[in-house]
Amino acid sequence: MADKQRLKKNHFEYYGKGGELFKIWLVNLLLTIVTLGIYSFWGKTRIRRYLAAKTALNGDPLEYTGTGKELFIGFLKFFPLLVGALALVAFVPLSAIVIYPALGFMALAGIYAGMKYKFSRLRWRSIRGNLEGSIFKYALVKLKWIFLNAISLGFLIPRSDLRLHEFVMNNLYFGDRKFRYAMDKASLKRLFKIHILTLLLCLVMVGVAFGGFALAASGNAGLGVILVMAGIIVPIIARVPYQVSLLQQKARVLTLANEYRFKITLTTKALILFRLKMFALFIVTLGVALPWIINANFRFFFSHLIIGGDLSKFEAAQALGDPDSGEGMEDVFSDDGFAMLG
Amino acid sequence: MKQARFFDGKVARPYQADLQFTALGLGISYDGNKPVIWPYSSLIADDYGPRPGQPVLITSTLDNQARLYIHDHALWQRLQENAPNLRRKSIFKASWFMITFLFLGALAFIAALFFGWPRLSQAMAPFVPLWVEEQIGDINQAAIRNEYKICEDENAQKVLKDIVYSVTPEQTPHYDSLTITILDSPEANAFVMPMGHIYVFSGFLNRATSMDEIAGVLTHEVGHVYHYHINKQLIQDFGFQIAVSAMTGGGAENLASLAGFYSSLHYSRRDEREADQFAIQQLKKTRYSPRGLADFFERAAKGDELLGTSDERWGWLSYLSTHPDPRQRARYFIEQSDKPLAVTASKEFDILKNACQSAPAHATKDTP
Repeated sequence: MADKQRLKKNHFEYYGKGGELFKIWLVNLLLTIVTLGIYSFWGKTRIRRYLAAKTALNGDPLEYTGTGKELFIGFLKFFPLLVGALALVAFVPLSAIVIYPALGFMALAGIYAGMKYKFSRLRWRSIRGNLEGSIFKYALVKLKWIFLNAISLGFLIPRSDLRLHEFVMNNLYFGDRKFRYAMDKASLKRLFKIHILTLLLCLVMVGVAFGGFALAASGNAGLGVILVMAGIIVPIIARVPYQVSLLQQKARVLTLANEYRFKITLTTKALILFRLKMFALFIVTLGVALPWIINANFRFFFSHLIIGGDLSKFEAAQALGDPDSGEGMEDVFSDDGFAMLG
Repeated sequence: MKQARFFDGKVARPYQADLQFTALGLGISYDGNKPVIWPYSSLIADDYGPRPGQPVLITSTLDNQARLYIHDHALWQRLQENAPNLRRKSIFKASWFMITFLFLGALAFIAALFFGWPRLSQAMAPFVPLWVEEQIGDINQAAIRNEYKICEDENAQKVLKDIVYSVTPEQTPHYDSLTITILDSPEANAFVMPMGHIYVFSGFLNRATSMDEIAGVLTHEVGHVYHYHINKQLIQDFGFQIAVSAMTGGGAENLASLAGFYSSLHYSRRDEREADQFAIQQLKKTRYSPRGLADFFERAAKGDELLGTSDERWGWLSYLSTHPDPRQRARYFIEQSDKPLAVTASKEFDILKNACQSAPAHATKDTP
């Protein structure tokens, strides 16, 4: 592996403009209404194409090659399955014992299927990504960690976050070059410290929120509301250090082709300020500024991601494996799919 | 010779390429390799710019892996001059062909949904599995028993059952298990639920002016059973709900509440006409006159003009809110009547007129 100190730093650049994205977003919205929602698959694709095309690494833009047709076909493949399953539950309520866990499992598998599709449709220097591994194996791993997190009352969250990241990264290829990630004890230890501290703070603040409710109910509305607000806002902010640290740890021991390394330069203060700014923008504009917010998110994230290594010498052959249809499984079995059925 | 950045789609290596605009097409020379010729007709331009850092991406249908990025505006202009029919894939322009196609597709879908689906539902209705009907029937039975008081006037129930079986052909679905329940409520209505459960409001019986009227209304309800209208409605509403939910991206009722639709069951005008025709056909075979139904509809039409008690007005209004124009139907039954009112007074009629007025009614909310 190349010496970490001597690695050349490569930055992503993002050229997107909020106004341009707004145009695409607005047209998508109108066409989605006119076509009774069908256009949303094409609209989603246009946004992705824009975001990828406006992102460059080492001067070469990314490219998203997915199509609306693929997403639509993927959706058509799985939607009848969801309808059939829910119809069965409607008519045979007892079948819910089997159907709901099965749908939950499919939703987890769908997450990975969606990732596989998206990576396969993302290119840089004409070479595409490729995520291998079984969607059902991912679902089982995810399920295992959901269970363990639940019985450990959230204590194992850092381990589960890193293990799932490990699963994905160790199946991920850029062309024929493999990403590698091995969870190390140092990362885990650091994450655990922050996790426990922030988790305890969150629990305390939940108590404060309940106290606020009680105070408000007993007549002290002013102080009660302040405590409730504090009980809601503080935990949201309190988890930011964990999220930042998690991103840093995820990048810290990640390598590509055993040669290229990754670094997240994000700080807790920067992320809190950025989120507050975006939240205020969203509220003040009643959501109309969403395209600008997406744009700012991309710019913000990529400005804090560094790839170490000489990319001018990077060579990867074209990837094998190419899913033939879109992320239908993810679309249908996620919240979106259920929302469609009310 | 103009320069651009070329990727061959085999390795991630960038090449500075020289471009030649030849008669055969766009020539791409890179890394000392033999020039690649992309015919102009095969080129597709993904137009994201051009501006600093935002090149035009050129691909060819001959090689869907290789990529050519043109940063230079003059070079891009030159390519357009040489390839006037260059296919453009601008990210800012949606394809009008596709939008028109999707829009027409959406219209066709709506047309199929509103015109085709009810017919298909009718065709599929006899094939709804019995267990599905049972499930929905049970759910609705429970809902009705929770909402209304059941009148357990055994004499009235027996009279109604005799009438129902005198007008019901043996091939009617659930022939052997038809049930008649009297609901203690002032509404002037009757309805049928899955599995051949017929419900009659005491308000209707108390207001009836002849046995023919009661027999007519019951025969009409049996008509809905005979023609599988409930199953048809079940399939139809199920399809509508899914379609509307999918189109609106949610917001419609949950599928699980499907069975609940039948507590406010509604039929199409066609279904009502079919049930009316069935009633005429069956009543003609009995001693009852279709004229009784004409009386019922005439009074229903005047329902909101009645000067009766608020209960009475409400009773008729509830009927009007769930059925088509009663005046028209009254005329139809008068035209179709083959005999005058036959049974205006009898012991059975007295039992029905006074149904639930002496027998103790109980709220089944309290019963298991």
